[in-house]
Amino acid sequence: MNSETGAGAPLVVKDVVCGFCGLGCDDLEVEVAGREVRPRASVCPEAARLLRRLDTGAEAGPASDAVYGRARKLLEAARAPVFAGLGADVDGGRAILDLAARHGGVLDHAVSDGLFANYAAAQRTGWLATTLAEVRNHCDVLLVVGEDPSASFGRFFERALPTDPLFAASRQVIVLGGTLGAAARRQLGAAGVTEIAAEDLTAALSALTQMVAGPAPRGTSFGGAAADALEAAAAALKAAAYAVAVWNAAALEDADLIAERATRLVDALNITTRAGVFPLGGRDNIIGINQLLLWRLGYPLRTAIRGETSEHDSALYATEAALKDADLLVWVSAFRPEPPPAFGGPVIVIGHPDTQFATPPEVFIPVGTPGVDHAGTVFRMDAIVSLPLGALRVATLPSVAEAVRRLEPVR
Amino acid sequence: MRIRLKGGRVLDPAHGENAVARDVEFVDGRIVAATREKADAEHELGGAVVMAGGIDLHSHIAGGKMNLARLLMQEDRRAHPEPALPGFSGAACGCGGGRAVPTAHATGCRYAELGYTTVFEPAMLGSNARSAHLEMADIPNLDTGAYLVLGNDDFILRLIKAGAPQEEINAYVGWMLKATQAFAIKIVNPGGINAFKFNARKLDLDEANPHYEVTPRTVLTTLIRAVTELGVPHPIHLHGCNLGVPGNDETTLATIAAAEGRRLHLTHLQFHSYGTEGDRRFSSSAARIAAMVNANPNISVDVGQVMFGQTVTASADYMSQYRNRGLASPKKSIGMDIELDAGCGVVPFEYRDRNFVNALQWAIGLELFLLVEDPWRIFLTTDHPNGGPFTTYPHLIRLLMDRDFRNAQLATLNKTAQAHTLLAQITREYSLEEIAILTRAAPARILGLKDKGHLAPGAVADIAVHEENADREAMFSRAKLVFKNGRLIVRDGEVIDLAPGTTHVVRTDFDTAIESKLDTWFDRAVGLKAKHFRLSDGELRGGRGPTVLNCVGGAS
Amino acid sequence: MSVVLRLKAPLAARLDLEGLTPAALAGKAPAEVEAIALPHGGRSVALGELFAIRAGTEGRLVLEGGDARLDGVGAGLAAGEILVEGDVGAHAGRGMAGGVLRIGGHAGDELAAGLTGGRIEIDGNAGARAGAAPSGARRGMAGGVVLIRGHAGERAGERQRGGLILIEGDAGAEAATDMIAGTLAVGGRFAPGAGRGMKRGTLIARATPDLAEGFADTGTHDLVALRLIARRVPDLAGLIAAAVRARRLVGDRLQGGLGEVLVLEEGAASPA
Repeated sequence: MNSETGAGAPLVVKDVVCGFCGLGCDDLEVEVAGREVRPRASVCPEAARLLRRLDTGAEAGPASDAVYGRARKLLEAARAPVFAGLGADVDGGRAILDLAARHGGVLDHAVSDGLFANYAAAQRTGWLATTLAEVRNHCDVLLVVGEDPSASFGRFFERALPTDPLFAASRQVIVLGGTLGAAARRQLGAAGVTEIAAEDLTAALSALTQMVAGPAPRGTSFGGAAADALEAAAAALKAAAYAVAVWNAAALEDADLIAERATRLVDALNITTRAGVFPLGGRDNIIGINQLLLWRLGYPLRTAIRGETSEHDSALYATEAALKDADLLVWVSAFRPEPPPAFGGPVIVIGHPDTQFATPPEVFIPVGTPGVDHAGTVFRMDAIVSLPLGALRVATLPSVAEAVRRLEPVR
Repeated sequence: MRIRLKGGRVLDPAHGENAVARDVEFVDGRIVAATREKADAEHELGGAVVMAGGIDLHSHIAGGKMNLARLLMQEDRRAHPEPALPGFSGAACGCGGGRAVPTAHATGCRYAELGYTTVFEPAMLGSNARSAHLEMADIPNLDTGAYLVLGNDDFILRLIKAGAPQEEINAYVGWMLKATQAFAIKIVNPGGINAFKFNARKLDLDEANPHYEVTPRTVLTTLIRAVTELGVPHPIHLHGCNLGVPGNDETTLATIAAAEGRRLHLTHLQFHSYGTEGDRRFSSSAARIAAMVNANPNISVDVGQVMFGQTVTASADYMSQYRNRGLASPKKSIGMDIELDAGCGVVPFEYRDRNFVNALQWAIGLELFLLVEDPWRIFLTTDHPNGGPFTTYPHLIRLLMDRDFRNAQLATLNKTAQAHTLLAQITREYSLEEIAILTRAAPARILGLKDKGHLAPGAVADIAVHEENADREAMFSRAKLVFKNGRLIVRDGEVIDLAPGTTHVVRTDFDTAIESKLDTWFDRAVGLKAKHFRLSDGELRGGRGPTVLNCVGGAS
Repeated sequence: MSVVLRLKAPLAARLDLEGLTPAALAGKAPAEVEAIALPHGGRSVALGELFAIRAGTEGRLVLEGGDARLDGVGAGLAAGEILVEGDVGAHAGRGMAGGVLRIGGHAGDELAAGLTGGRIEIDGNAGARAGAAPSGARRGMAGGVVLIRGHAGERAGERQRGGLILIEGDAGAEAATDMIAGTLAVGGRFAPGAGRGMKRGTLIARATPDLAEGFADTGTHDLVALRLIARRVPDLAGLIAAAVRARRLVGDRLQGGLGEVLVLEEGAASPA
């Protein structure tokens, strides 16, 4: 497929909203030529990859009535289905939730490990958090725990620490247990960067937290991080007008302990100055689906609907655990061609048309991509702001909501 | 579809009807004059009380902070699972549960069972508006609307600091109302939430914001003028400075004076009526404040009554909630600075009847209810869920209507608190008509909802029927019948059907020249395009859009 | 009624027995017991569909046979006794406040999570997070006794704040993470990473565990307290019996913690 097959001149679309990583960029510029979407400006590598249209599976066209019929039969027969992946816009999520309410089953998202690591702090003790616009303008000291966020969130520093804040008098970035790559450094401009090497990130962060809260632990190194470097970081955090701690739980070992310690660090800072946690995450609208579950069921993801009632458990109803007891997997992944996890029973995939399967599923219903083929709403990682995705081209495949609604019993 | 309610006693204070025996008839969701035509359905009421559906003008039912509250209140959720509704015609609906922070679905159903049909979310942040509207779309059986929180946003504080003309403020307010699909303007701790971001821990009425040097008084008077000039029916809905702080009575009295005769609604007044007398340095100032409210007809209030038991407090007032987080029970809380806009604080809390402060808070609320004389200027709220869940309303109604019951309850409370309240001496008992005013007629009037809160021809057929019962708590706990838009949704206290609600919004004229300034602001400061911040009509109520009230501006 | 339940067939999906206690069954006719609705996979089933029911001893619920998908056994128990002959799944004894739960086989994850009282004994192994905090809760087990005759999975005693966990076999990785108070005693070996984030509380071990960073060795002491514990807590008598001295480590000092790890050293036992 190339642009010549499209009708007329390529169309340049500005201010495109991106729903892939959760950072919520809404200033992308793309060129749409026929069925093709080409990045032009303000597009990170990950978005560029996911915006590109191969449309391999779409050539076969939308799933037939027979395919939907087969899926309905599988659903009717299932005693313990698992609805996983859940890469969908909010409306798609609503349809999936309605379907799960009808059939019962477990609901979980593909990338919820990070979310629940963070909930070890947010849900058990609560935390003091902040959002993107506050970071942009108030943050004078940013503590990054772990590796460079730019790896998963390509434009993180450009978006979080622009060079012209309203209030921050200066910008300093402290990286604990990681190093910043060239892209990050470029985005940061004149901001100061300190990198502190650590072997055991949890131990190093524990010590840093204790240095802020006092009394400081005694020793020359903690978790492989030099005590004096940590002392300097603690001093900078305490002297900050508005310190912010970020980490990407999905990329960390013992991420629950990191979240818990970062939370305590920020709690300690707020006694005398201002600070907030800003946990990174939010891929494929996990936050939106989680919000939807909270207001619809009163529970976050990893909830099972069991007959008339529902129950949440962050371990038992995680996809991997739930599949051990399941007799049907319904896998939804509209944002990216992510195949379902290995499963011995029947699988229904409502997915990206380019999905490659190791084992073909019993049912494959290709769907359009939110923000490319369909309009829809996605949430940003902070769970406060949500964004309207637009359609860039005429859809030839149904949206997740349209496809899932067709799985309801025929009346 | 013509439906007739026969043999009821109509309580319609908006038209002076106090238990008038007459039929109520409606066709396709609107009340009509009674006819002799054959009805599609008739309900024989046998003398039951017929009122317009209840309207709650202040109840936190949607938005990000409620989801944070749900996240923290998992024990409450597990303790209140999905109810079995044998009469419900739908299939398993995934309706959720919970008491302190019920799910969207449970909110709609529990309110309906009490006879309420319209509820306003009083603290929607602009940055969270899309989320709040998505959530409201999933609330069945209720019409909703939301008040937009302004006055802590950096955009308006910059305008005020720069001495921008009122017209520009008005344009901004008008744009924001439209962009966020809001119904009124709420101010929470004027400028205080913003000041907390610059590490101020308190901000009194005439204290300057550490960065902008703007005082809460200026924020308040500027926004009072804006909604007055734009013609927004509901006055500024104010959660004042120093919430919960002993001695905030002086701030509250000064705030009433600051309105200088212009309309102002003081919300959850109970939390703002604390003196510092006595050994515990915590006392009731309800009498002083009620006297000032009585003397100022421009002032309306809702109480925010405290009800004993487990609940969760959720507010945009991060400054105050941070101060209160040590009191959390269970011991966990969430706070958040939000988007150059405002903030939020969520603190689980259990009000205990043996606790001096909690018991006195309970008494202060009731004192306010009983000492504010004009039932058209005081509204029945618990600031759900902050003072207690809305499901406690029937108990509260009985406390207001039944002096013996009230005094018996008082006698069981913390002894020191009993000695600090004059509640036992107050003989007033609310009449049924007054309850109907507080919960229907007056909210409709102050919100400018002309076709709600009454039962005259042309009104929306939102109707609640309650069986007469001397035990007012029992009477109001289970409505006999509830109609939403003419559709029967509750029978004998149980939800039997789900009706879709609508969302009320206001629209005002405003100078669109503000838009280019806002585009620049959003691009540079917020990091989100103004056009993506803004909600389209189609984003409300699953594509059905809002119910629009067009404001007639120009007054000043 | 007091009942004996026999599982008719291996479970095809998880079954949640939370709340099915002797107290909840008391006074119920056999037909009522059969009709009790239980969450099973994505549906709800009547108890009688899955179990054969017969009358048993007053105050006691017996489960003949077991299944690793049998969740919530004894969850919410406040009094009486529950006896399981085979395996159980997750959440056995969750939030239990009193009574006795005996499990003849293995238990799944989160055995005794949020326990506040009572006694749990299990002949086999326990899964991950025994005695830890239930999903979303702030704190782990606060009271009661958990005796695990086999091994325990990772993070046993996570956020524990009271009571006693005694593991006769080995403890999995990161035992006692963020422990607040209480006692975790292990007869076998500790896998690496124990004690991380301990605030207070006591670990009792036979050999020096591979602790997380942050523990300071305070040397070997003649601990009178050990003998007192052995006398007061019969469950620990067997483990402590021969020990008169213990090496004492304190941590997690990275977080200002004052938890203690007592490594028993055997010697001539003084007469108890």
